[in-house]
Amino acid sequence: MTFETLLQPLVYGLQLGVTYILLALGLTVIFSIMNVLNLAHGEFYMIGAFTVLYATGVLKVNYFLALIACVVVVAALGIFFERVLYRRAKGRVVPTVIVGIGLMWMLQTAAQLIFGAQPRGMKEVFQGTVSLLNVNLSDSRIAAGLISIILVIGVYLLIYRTKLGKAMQAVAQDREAAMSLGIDVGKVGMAGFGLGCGLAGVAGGVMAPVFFVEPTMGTTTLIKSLSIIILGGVGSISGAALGGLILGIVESYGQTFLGYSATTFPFLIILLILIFKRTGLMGRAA
Amino acid sequence: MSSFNWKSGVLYILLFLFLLFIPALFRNPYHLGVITFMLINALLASSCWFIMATGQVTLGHAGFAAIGGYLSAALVARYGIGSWWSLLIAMMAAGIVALIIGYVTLRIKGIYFIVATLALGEVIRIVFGAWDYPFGGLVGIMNLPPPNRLAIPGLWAITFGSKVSLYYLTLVLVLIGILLMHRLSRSAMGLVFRGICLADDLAENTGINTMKYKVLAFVIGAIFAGMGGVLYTYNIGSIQPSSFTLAQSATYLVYVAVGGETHVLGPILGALVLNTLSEFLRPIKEFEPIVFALILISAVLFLENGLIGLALTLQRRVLDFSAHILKGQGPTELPYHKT
Repeated sequence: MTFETLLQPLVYGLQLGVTYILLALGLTVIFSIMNVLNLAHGEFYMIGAFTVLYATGVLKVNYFLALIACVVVVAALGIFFERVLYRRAKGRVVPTVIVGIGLMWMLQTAAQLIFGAQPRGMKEVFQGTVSLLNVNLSDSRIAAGLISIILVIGVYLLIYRTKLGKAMQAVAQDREAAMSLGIDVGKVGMAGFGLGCGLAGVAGGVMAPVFFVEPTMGTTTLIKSLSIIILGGVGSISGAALGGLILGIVESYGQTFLGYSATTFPFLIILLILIFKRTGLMGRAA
Repeated sequence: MSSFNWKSGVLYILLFLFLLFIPALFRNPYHLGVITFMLINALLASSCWFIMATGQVTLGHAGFAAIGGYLSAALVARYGIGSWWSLLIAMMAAGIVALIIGYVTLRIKGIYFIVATLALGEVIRIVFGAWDYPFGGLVGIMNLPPPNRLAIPGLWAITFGSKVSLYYLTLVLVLIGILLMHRLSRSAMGLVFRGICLADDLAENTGINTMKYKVLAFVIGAIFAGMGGVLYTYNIGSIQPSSFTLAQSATYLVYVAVGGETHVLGPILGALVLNTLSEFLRPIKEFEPIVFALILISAVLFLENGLIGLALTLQRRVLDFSAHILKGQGPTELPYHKT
């Protein structure tokens, strides 16, 4: 075993990890603000990936414009489904879960009917590979990593440095108190849901040039996002960041050295954390 | 009240006779197969419902069906153990796994428990998919023999080569399972379950060991899920990990939610209606999940207690109405009836 075989998975893992942070942030924002576990989160990721695939492939739009378009499309879809479906579940656990399952099936099937079931590869936006110390990283992966880092910083600033972000934190901490202070909880919730879904969408758009795009990719994505937020602590942004990096690296090494059994990692993370340390690595006590 | 019970007794006997004569009514082996799987799904939905009686919602139920199915298949195919012993061992294994897992996961509540069971179900499936001997890895176990012949020497014997005999086997075991769970949910234990479901902490404070009852419900539900898995395997004659996905666990929960969780017939009704619908949707198979999704979303959002709630409300309305007609009164109590 050489130095490179040990280092290569780390580099891949870090790149995956930063994109996972985007995904997990989306899920955790929706959960803390709306108290809704959006089981269709992975499907929004899938729609984001398809939007970028079509915008660049069929409409010949510039990749970055396509990314912006995919945020807008997915956020709008998210807000629509929140209005029409999730809101009617009124925060009750079973109806919310059932609505999530229904939405999952609906969006997945719709994607299969519209785009076909076969996996598609996107035409490479960035060609070439960077090699350093015999460790290789393709330009599309580097771009995906960089865009993800910029977006994560953007979300961090949005939540901690803007008035909207403060309002979101307030609603997440105590809905009634926020309402009594004159915060429009409905609007903040809508913004939160849009932000969360938009993040899932843009994660899909960022990963579209790296991985194959297919209608069923949402389920594994959901599991990964779930394991990250549970590992990091539900509702914690720094926890999501830490969890994303850990999952990315662990998964990358697992796939290199263990193969198929590595698919159990996210599930084992979920189980072990929920059993032994329910607040996750950085979560506050519920 | 007593006359109502008498009526429902007659209704249940008629239903039972109907179930007995189904092989005569549905000659097509394909249709009979569909009905057999409906029964298995009804059992799995009921066992899911039984766990939900304590207020814990599981999204990993297919995992316990997988344990039952895989263990019985491996015992029969690889170790040559008889089908009936395999059935018992498989059910017990599902129960034991549930006991161990229940003790560590049932402290988790609400949405976190759902996520934990979701992870659990998938771990079980992936483990079976990665375990080559005796479970056959991703290919699974193929070409199982039919269940052993049952006989009382010199008096009576039955072999399970045909679809009809498998239907009867399934019917008997499913009915036993559902009736047992129904009885238990009506017993003193069932009352405790309801108490825990309504007010977990209050039940704990009145001296009830809520953990014990939650584990009990989880184990009993898992045992019958294991039985469902065994029946599934015996009917198909093979088993693959792809039959026990998260989507499958979600389907059981959907049967309960669409059928209604307040009544024992709810999950059964949900399984029957959705399975029948899925047969009628066969020509437009690719649209099926969308139709299903619309039905289940509208059922949970717009019906108070699922289909069974709808049925009971309709029944009450009809009874009220007919009572008023028979008494020669107006349809409702309007003010001018009062003197």
